[in-house]
Amino acid sequence: MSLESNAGGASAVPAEAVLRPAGQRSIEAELPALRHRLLRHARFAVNDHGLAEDLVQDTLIVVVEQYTRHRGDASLGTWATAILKNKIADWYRSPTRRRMVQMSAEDTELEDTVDTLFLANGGYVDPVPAWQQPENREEQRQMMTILERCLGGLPHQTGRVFMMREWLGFETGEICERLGVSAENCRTILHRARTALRICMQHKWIDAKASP
Amino acid sequence: MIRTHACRRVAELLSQSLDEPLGLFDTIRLRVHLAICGNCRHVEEQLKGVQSLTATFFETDTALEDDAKEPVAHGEGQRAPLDRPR
Repeated sequence: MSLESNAGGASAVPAEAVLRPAGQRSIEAELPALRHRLLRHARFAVNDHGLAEDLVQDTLIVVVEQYTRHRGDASLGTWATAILKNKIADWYRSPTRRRMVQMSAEDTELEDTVDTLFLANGGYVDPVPAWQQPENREEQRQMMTILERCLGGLPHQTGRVFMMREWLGFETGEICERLGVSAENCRTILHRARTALRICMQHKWIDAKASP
Repeated sequence: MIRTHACRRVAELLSQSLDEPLGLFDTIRLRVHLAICGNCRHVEEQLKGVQSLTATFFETDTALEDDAKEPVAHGEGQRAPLDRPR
């Protein structure tokens, strides 16, 4: 009982008050692994490591404060990731943030990568193989490891736009507005990001499955 | 005679269709092209596969168990998140 009445308080709540119910590990014990995981996610969505660290720590504070009130079915990691997602989206929506996004040469070079897929008449140079669905949990896990590597290989600004759309769930119109790029540009960036990921997954996953 | 889109343009439309509804004209051309082009059907599958895998990666907890094994480059003390003033 006292556990619950203490848990709703501000950050001054002593650590003892945010313990898990009897017999389980304290929330503090979960924080290092949780921080690690959240950082991995945050870095895909914001380019600045210091900022990613700040947003993750803000998230961990909410996790610690609200842990005993968290009654959802979601696991700790899933719940914390949802909080982080809101923190990052809020940051993108904050009026003080610098809006312009500077595309680097690396981002622009993706255009060439996409171009090499096509013949002059607009057809594909090489046949496109079918997508291989993961057949079990282990394969899905491997696939996600590959996806993470492929996401990490995207040029920074391109990756950021992709994450704003596919993780944070921004509409393209809002991405353009928040980043100060034209709608056409936004479409092109997303198209190139998806193509690059598709090709990366194809090489690393489909090809690996085809020739074990 | 109406030419169907080339695969290059279809790839752009497939991406766009994941973000916003296409106009009637593009929708029909896309459907016709997909009906006759296996490469572009595979591209569509791959794009949707990447999209759903990304959602899974960011929304669920499957990666968590592995995380603690890898060191974090920015690692300061483990208590840092708690010590930080609000």
